[in-house]
Amino acid sequence: MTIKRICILGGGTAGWMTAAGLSNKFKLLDIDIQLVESDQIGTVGVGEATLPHIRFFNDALGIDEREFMRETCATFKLGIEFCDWGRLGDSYIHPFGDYGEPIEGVDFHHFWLRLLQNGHKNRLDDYSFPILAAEAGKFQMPGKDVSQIGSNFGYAYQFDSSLYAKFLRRYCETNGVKRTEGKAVKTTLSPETGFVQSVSLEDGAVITADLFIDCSGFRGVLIEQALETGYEDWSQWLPCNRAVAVPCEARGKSLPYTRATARKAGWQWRIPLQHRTGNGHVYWNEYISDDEAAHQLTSTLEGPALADVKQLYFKTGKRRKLWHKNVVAIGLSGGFLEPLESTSIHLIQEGITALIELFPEDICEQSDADEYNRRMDLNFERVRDFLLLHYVATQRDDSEMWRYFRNMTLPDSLIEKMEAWNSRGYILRYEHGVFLPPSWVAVMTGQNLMPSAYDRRAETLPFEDVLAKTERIRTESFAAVERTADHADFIKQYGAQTSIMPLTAGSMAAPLSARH
Amino acid sequence: MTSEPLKTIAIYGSGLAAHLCALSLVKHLPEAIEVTLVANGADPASDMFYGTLAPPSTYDFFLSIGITEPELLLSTRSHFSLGTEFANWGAENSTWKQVFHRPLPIHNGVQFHHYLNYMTPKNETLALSPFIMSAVAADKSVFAHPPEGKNIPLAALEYGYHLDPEDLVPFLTSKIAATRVHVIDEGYEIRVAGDSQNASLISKNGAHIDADLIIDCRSDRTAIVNDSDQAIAGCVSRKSAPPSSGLCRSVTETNRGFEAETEFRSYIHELEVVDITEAGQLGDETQTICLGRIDTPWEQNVLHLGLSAGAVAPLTDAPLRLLQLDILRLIELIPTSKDMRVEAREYNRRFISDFDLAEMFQRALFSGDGTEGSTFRRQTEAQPVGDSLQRKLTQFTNRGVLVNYDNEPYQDHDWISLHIGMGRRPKRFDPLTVRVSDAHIEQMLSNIRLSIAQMSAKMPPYQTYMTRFLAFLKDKHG
Repeated sequence: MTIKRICILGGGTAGWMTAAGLSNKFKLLDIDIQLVESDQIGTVGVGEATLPHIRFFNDALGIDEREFMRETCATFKLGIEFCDWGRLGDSYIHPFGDYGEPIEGVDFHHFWLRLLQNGHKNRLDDYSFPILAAEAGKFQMPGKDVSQIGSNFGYAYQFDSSLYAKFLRRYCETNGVKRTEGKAVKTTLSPETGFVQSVSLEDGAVITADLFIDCSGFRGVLIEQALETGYEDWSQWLPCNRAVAVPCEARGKSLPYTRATARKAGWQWRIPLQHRTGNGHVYWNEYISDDEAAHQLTSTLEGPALADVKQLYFKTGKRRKLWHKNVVAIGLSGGFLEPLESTSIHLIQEGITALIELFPEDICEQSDADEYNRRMDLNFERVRDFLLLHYVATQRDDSEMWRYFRNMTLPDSLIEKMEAWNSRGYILRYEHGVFLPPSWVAVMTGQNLMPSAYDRRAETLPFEDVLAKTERIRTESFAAVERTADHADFIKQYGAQTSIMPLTAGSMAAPLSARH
Repeated sequence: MTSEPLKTIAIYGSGLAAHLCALSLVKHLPEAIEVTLVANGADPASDMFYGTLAPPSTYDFFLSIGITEPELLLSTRSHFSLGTEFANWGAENSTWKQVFHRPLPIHNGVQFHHYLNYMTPKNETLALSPFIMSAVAADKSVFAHPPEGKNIPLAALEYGYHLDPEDLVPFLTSKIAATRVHVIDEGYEIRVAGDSQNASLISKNGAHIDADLIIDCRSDRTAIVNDSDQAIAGCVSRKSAPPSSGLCRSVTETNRGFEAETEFRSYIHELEVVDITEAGQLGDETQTICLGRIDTPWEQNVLHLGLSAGAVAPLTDAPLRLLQLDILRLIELIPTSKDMRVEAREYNRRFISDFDLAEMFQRALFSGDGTEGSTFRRQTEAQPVGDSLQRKLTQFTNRGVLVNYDNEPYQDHDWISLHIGMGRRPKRFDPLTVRVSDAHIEQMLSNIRLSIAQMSAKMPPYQTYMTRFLAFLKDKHG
């Protein structure tokens, strides 16, 4: 018996992305894909900001970029601005791209460190086209000539994830994915194997399948409620456990980046879309009440709120096995890491890619599940260390939460990375994992971790040569930004502007709170 | 421990590792760091366990230490190489060419080997070589440099070199003489002096060479580290032979172990390797070495590099590949100060990863249960397969999926060649293979095969090419 029927339980971002990925790959094969979702159950709408990898996902589906951007009210994203992380008043941008370019095989930042030690004051950011463009509110496509400044960077999007799910739903339905409306009320397991046999819906319908993808969100209806796979709790390292979220009217210039501002007991996000701005406050309830957290959020919005504040509860960590028996957990059912670096949608994508490569043929073989879990565990762990870095590479001690992080025992893997950086500006070499060395450089320099020395090879060139080479990169980067279009103008001339008018509080159905 | 800058490095050894290391250090480091090469008077033959096959990365590696390909060819008897030919290997008597090449094509999101698997009748073994430019060139003994940026099959050819450490070292010595490396004759040994934790080089008459960092490059590491470790003995002979056209180093299984035959310009290098218990069966010039690695090649101010840190049997290019990785890793981690704990920890971590992954690649050349064949084979097969390799074998044989770890020294296409060469055939293929019609797949396979065959027909015989190339170089470089 080969796998003929796949049931995806849940229709949020994870569910529809999975359905799109699988239906595109398997459309000429004799495999039925069914997605069960209930309009009664809301979706969390995980992070609306993404990483550059999303472009490969969309490209593989054959999605037209302009159409996708119009339909999801997307903006371009060159990176994330972090405010108040190192010290109150600090800010830096973590870009999707390298700083400068290597000189004789040695990473650029070593030469920058040499400049600093010789009294020069330029920021490392001044050698990064994507940072300078982001700061100026500008955007262009990466140039094709890789020898030119303005080519060596990536970009992602900020979009409305519920619109993205709708957009993908249409795509999936043309690929033959069957959508069933209904709420799962019971799961039946095989008495012999313990595999999931079927899911019963409220209306009495019974959905049977050979393989189930659990996209049911935090509840983990199949992976946890039915199979009791267990959860690896990472809250000792990432203790923030609640969030409040609210969209508001967009104000000011359209910015091609996300902002994450550190708060006393968590941090706040700002994600600019074409038609509105998404906002949220992630916090640790130990040190702030829900009301206070919501007040901090609503009192710092740039424009009037467009809806009531939505409350979310979570526990950071991951399922012990993301693939267990014949259930694969993708999205929040598999694990949750706070969206500080926009990794939620990326981890969904990694899950889909690995599932396609290791797609089981007849029964689910243990060796495939083991390999899938090995890959996904590595992805989660490397993201975890990188997120934790933001909280511990800091000089802040102005609240209980920041003092907690000062006294925390770090994972060895992270200690080694920070020591290697602090002592010599070296980034530990790994191949797998989403964040490459420039990302580590961005956060560590951005949060004031300054290495006490740099690579000895950076001393071989005469200082005047180093100065000439680095100055060329800096002046060319500024000149390239001069020639770059404003972000909003670029979206328009590119043909990616949505037809949805910017939302205003008056145009929305009055928020519930206003009706009382 | 102190934060004073590191100023002096001493390299201890007389062989290939010491020479390459010295050249790399002076090329990459500022003059403020003094580099001394202290000979240890080792038998040049002890370098035999580096083997004679250098991977394609050698071209760039040599260039980075100031040695161009013309210079290498004009100053040594080195030879271009396309890889290793395994003959009558293992219980299945497998014969294949493990060649250097670029990744195989991906068609409609499906890797090439799935199409090959799909189109090959069930009872036949997979024949990969007609689809690989280097393998066809090796079969026909034709050669030409791959052109850059051209979309022709020759561009996918990759080549390394046949290098004989004993031929290469005198040339490297002359290169070092032209640098600022301070060379000191033998008579010293590494010792920890007094109550210091740090070692220095001390001569019999009490003379000291103080160095902030000592790099131990000896090749004669014979001590058995653990009881379960395997040790081997080897013996080299060189016979003069008229130039023929062996573009691959050939490795043949024997009753006693294996023989590796490598062609050089004007002679054939023969290396026979047996288990150490059978060393007596080899000639007088026998050398021995313990296989495996130490756990902390860098401890305090002493770094063990090359064979002094770990050895794998000289079956493939793995020993020279690992030596290059050791040197590159050191260059990236030259300590900023005399407190080198951070550098040592990262070096050791990367060393263990590189070494174990290269060793795993060679372990995959042995598929028996340890009861058949020579003592060498039985001893090798008695070493555990390990979870990481088992995962690779299971995924490939079940479904043709390549499992990857961080920074592997061998790439997916090297593993595919090895698996298929060893007669491993995936039980099934990627289900997406069948999205393309059989006729289309047949056409695709035949196009690749044909374009490579046509290309190889236009390439000159290796000897002709080499003779003309050398004449050209002599003309140009004198």
